[in-house]
Amino acid sequence: MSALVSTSSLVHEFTSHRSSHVALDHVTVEIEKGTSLGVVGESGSGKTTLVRCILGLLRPTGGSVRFDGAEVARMSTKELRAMRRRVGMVFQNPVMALDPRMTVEESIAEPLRVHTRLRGADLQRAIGEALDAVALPQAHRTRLPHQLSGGQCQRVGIARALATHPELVILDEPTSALDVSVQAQILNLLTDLRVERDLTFVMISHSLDVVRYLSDDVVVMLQGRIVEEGTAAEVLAAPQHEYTQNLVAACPTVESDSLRFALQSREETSK
Amino acid sequence: MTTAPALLQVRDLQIEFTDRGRVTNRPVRGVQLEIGSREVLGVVGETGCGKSITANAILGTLPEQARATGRIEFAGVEQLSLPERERAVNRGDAISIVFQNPGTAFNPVFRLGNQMRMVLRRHRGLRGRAATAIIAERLSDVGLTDTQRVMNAYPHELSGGMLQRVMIAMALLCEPRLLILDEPTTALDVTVARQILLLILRLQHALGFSVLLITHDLGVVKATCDRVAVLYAGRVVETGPADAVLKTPKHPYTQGLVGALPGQSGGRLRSIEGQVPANFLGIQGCAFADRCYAAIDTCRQVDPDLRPVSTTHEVACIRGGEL
Repeated sequence: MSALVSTSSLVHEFTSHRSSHVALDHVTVEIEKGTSLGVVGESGSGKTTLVRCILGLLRPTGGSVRFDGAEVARMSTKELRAMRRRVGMVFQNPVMALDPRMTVEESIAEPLRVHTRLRGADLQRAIGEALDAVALPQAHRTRLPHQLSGGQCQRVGIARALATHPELVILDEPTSALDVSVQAQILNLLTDLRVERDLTFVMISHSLDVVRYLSDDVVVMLQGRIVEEGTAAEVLAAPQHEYTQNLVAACPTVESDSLRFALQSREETSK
Repeated sequence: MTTAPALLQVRDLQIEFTDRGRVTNRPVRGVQLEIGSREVLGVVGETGCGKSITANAILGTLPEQARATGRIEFAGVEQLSLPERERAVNRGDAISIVFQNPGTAFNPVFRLGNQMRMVLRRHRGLRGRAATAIIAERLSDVGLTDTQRVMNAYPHELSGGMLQRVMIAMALLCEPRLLILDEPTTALDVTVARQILLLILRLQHALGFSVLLITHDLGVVKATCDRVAVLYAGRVVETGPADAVLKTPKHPYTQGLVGALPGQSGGRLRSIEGQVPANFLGIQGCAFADRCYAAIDTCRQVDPDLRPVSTTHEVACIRGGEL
């Protein structure tokens, strides 16, 4: 196996004339082909900056990002475009991520027009395949985002991301805006597509349950640094770093005890 | 469960949207709720099931095109028939609300202290030092010790978690008897969310108000609620103690919700087939029948009312007892 994406000692510092903020502090990750990596951490921990550096949307202050062996920072515009054809991106808020004035088929056609030479009937066929892949009826082609539910919009978002047959899919909180029953449909869909197409996933998520479900490996970020990494099953079952332990403890699930017990026992011990 | 008369009783609440005299939708179709004193009731359901609009009806903040019928009794007084002037007396005073997104719920151009002063001036006629003293006390109750800095801050100067604390402090200024929380932690990081939930429970314990907690997160219900009401398509389909409803759900919809959670075990997730109807006007029989694994012919004709399956647990399903 070889790494599809690797970063080594990646540093990104945002600077303004008055202050600077280190968003990524020597981050090293290796993402093997066909694996699924979960990136967890609170707001401002550097998750999105990491993804933007991988895509070449931000120029790192230090360290390097390699995509399939090639240094992203040294790529020409043409090479960057060729790389981005191999990457799909699914956003958090499916309704807002789509252009409200574009129909479903126009939204899906856009990346195909930019990245492929498909036109006319071939383009229509590719749009049809993309809709089939996410189980949306062909009748939805002419609908606008406001005529679809949140779950259907996210299916369009996934169809759009996968239309060009990328190898790497970046998922930024793909289900956090969805209801649980719809979340289950989308997670099942992503699992199926990953197997069928041998995709590599990088998923940003707050939900440890979703990470446990969809990711093989996980990195936990805090203030721009990776504080813990390993297989998702191990890290989430037996977190070592204090921050990860807090994160795991803080996630309310239907299996966990009522917080009232925590409150009562704390009050008892403080008495 | 509630031997004393309930603080809030919602009976057969119906809400209709009208457009030039024509009824265009009926987002709430006979909701029954009851909250005892010092009780935490969770209202769960998916987008569009009628959770937030029910809260609006309780507060008296429905949009103009909406019309509510049925009964909402708060502290023994029927609310729906009261004139707006009298309902406004309770709003922000005896009944208060904390909104989902602290970043947009405040007015961005006023200092937080001034926004809190408006509440005390309106409901208590307090100004100046008297108001400042109460505000400072409430802010320290919610764990914001640098009260002067918070009062002088504009909303954008504080983090989401701090702003949510300020909103809770603001909602508690007049010592409400009922606090409505509309998805209070959805916009927050999990570690911050846990602190906020603990804070709410601690204050509820100390001050003795009742809570109506609107959420779509069953984990939050389990963590905080005494009882829960599950809404589907504008009706309560199941209600009972939070533990019992989540552990042994009786309504096929609740069973689907619990089963759809990605838990510890891997494997394919159970999802509920189909979608919520886009408009609730034309619903015949049970609204869930088309998506239900257990539906029989009668389900499409009769819309079942809540029936007890134990002394505290009720379910609106004609097969509820057997599933």
